[in-house]
Amino acid sequence: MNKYIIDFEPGDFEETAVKAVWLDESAEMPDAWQDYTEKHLGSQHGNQKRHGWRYGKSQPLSRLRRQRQGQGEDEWDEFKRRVRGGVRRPVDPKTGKPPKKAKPKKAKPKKKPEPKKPEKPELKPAGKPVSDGLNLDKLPKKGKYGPPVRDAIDAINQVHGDGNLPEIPVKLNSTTGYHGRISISWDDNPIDIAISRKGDHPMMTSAHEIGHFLDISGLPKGEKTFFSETPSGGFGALGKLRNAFQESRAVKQLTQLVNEPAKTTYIAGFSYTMKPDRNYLNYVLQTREIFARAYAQYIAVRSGNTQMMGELSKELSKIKNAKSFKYAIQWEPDDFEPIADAFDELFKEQGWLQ
Amino acid sequence: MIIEREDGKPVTKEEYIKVAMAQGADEVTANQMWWFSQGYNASDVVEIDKDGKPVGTVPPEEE
Repeated sequence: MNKYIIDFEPGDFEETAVKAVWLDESAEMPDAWQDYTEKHLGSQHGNQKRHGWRYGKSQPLSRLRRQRQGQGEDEWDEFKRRVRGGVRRPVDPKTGKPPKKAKPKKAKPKKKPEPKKPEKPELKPAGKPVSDGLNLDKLPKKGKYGPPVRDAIDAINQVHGDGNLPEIPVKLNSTTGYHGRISISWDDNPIDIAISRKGDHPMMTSAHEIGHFLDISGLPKGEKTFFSETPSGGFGALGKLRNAFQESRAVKQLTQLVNEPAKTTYIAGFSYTMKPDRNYLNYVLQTREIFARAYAQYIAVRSGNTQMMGELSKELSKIKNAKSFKYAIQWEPDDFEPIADAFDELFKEQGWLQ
Repeated sequence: MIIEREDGKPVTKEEYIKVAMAQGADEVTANQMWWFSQGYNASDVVEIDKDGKPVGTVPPEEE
């Protein structure tokens, strides 16, 4: 009986030629062929050197075979498919030929994005650094509490300069009565600044108190102790700043808080009634306080100091998540933009920015 | 913030701070609110008179 050996080359079957070799039974089989002609004997699996229809099973499979296996086609399925005529490519009925491959479209060269032009000219600090007016001898250089205050002062120096300031000491204390405090003498001169170790936003507090210091001693002396409260400052940069304060959502929200109805809460088995305190609201709505809070936020935003921005966003989330009354003592970013611009203008007017 | 007990009993400072903190205030702000609620001027701007004493009804300085 005549036999065929159908020999597939191991490797990529799509490109493999199928060889059919006519064997003469009388001819001797070369030794090298012995392995390739072993029959599949189920009972002798362990003894067989090769297994299955495809020679070289022990060799690694080609990428195409692995791909087909992944698609669920085993070797027997592949054998049947190839015996029946291999892969049938689609034929164009009009021409009787396989359709021409579409030429890959040439990718259009991407236009280089034009560098964004800054909307406003970049402002740089001018004049003397604010730190010249602050005596930091009593402030620790290392540890948990001193460095944030020093960092806040560095952030201020990065944003703007100032004119001539008197020198006042900055120190730490451990009171729970306030985050920070500035003392002023009877003749309207600042005495010192104290920052509490108990506060949870020391950088914002430091900038807030330095904001008061500049409001008293840095900006021009007017009829009042605080420049921001000068009655005749209704025009120019100060007027615009004060107008921006009053137009902001945060300040409007604080103003409307007075009329909020009382609320009830239950804590540890007791029922409490809460209502906004006019004294506290009058305090936070003073122009000098709005100025100092806005100044701290201005330094955070304009310096981009990470820790300061973190403290600011923590404050904003506290306001957002407050359960009873939302004391909007800081501004949402979009609400703050006009205020920051007004500060820029005021400081340019003073020669603290260029 | 004014906090009152519904049973009419006076609210202690500790109680006030506990309630204010439960509403979202931090400890220092809750403390400051307490002094304001008691009629003190707990502003962070303290005016000092010729004798070196704070002007007005300011909370006692604590360290």
